[in-house]
Amino acid sequence: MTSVLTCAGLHKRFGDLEAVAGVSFTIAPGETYGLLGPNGAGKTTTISMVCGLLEADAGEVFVAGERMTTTTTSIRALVGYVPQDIAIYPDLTGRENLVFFARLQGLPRTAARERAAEVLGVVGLTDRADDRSSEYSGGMKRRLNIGIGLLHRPTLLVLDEPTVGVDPQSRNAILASVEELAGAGMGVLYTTHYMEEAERLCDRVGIIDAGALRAEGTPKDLMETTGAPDLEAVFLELTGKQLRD
Amino acid sequence: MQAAWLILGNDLRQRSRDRSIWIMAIAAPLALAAVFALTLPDVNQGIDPPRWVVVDEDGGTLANLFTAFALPIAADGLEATISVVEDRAVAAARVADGTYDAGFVVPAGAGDTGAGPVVEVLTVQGRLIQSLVAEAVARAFAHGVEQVLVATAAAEELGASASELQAVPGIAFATALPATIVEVPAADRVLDLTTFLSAGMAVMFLFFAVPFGVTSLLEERSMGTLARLRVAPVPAWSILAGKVATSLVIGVASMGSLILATSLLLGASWGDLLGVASLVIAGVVAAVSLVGVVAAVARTPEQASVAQAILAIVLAMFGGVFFPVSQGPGLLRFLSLLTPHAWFLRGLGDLAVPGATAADVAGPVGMLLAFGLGGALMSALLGRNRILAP
Repeated sequence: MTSVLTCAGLHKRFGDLEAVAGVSFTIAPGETYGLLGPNGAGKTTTISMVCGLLEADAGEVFVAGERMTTTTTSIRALVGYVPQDIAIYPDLTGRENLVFFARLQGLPRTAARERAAEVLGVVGLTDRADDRSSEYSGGMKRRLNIGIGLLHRPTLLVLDEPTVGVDPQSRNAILASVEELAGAGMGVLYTTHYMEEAERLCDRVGIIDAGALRAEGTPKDLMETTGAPDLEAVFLELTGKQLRD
Repeated sequence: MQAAWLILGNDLRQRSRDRSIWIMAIAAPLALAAVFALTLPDVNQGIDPPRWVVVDEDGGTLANLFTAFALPIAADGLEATISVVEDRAVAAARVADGTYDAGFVVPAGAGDTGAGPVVEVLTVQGRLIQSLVAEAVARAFAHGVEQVLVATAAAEELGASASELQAVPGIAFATALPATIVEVPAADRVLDLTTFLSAGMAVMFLFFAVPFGVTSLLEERSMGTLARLRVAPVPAWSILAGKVATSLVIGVASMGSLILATSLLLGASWGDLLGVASLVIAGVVAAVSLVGVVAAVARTPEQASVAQAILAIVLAMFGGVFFPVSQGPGLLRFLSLLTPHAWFLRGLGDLAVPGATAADVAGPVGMLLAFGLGGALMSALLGRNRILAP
């Protein structure tokens, strides 16, 4: 079976800093892969290359078997991207945000409206669909942020720390949505600092530090290999306890 | 291409929601035109007829000559009000209270050789133009009197008859009054004052209106939505095209509003519609392109905003919006040609010639489009690696 995502030997350098140094991993259909690492480890740079926002200095990204670059366009329709920061238009309503991005994904007007209504239901915003998103709470904005990434039913969903700053209820709703999407066959690339989220959601995790993958496997395998009691202990053992910027 | 239309529609919807499009495209142009209408109420009405008062303290023919002959000649073509009062103090009071623009006193003994001034002028501080006109009229009359005296003496020497001597003052004054007030018909001017001010205001305002589109790229970057646009399955150029289209729409709308408002409120005559439309579109293209250079090099929306304001003011200054650079030194005239403002104003000047059409502004339109092309190339060169970087 063709993997949803294949990253092969990715390298990216910014001046003297080697942000990503030979990262390789794959994600199978329906699999949730957690990319875990401290701040500045190279997670967001890797995601940017996966989504075609950054060109790799070396190595390749394949989405459903097709090569992703910064200039390819059609393959982008296979990727749903949920950025770390909330990226919505505050002067537009939740529905307008969704319809706009759905149209940009190529959905016709009517289909875009219908799909927006469905996604509003998925992220629990139907009741507030026609309010300006600037009036939403932090958790509602986060859910809308995720909803935009789901609009076109992508093959690969990339979630970059989607639960930062949300209340437990919203977090639970977000995690439940991700589980449901993965259950429906979508491949998910998930980054987070919350180890309990990774343990709950991820079929496999890759622990990245200083631009390189330090370990990869199921949470259970990693705990057994390192002898750590939980994923957080694994993470700290592999990345150290010193503070990061 | 559909993506560009979607982005244009999305931008206009957002600009409508935050009211900026209504402010920049309608409210601000109307307000500017209204302010101009209030501050320059009669700018297109031509020169007011002069109102002069004369005091004859001499009681001789010189005062009659001045009142009946010299002043009407000086006010040539205008229906001047010329009154005669007995008392200098009364005349001074009437000038002071604004009944008259200026007063003239023909003092006793005026005209006697070496007896002192021929005409004294009564003016009020603060009425500079009226004072200058009155002084010029008085000087011209004094010069005429001198010529009459010289001419009469010469005629007597040559043995002129009494009737010939009587005709001398008329002939002398007819050639001796260089200071006359003449209204030039508007159609003969290059660009009437109202239209010049309106056009200058419009082209300067344009540089404040168009940034809403192209620099919104910087805002989208800081909001994170630019990354979302870049991840969508649309070509990168279509994102840029959508933003440029937003600027073009706002620019054309604001210029259109200004043209309409200044025509209705100020009576500005912009000229041939097709010619004006060509100039406006070319001017908007140039402005969008030059503002695009700022967007290409700026790192934040705030930085771009400051840089665009500086660009707008500097180009307006050198482009002749605030003062006519055509009357300035050669270097300034040359520098003005490096601004789209000067070419826009020049194009409108070309359209002010009676019978001018769109074909007559092909040169200025071409130059404005050249600014557009140059700006676009510079934007592409300076911003190629980062203008669409998320």
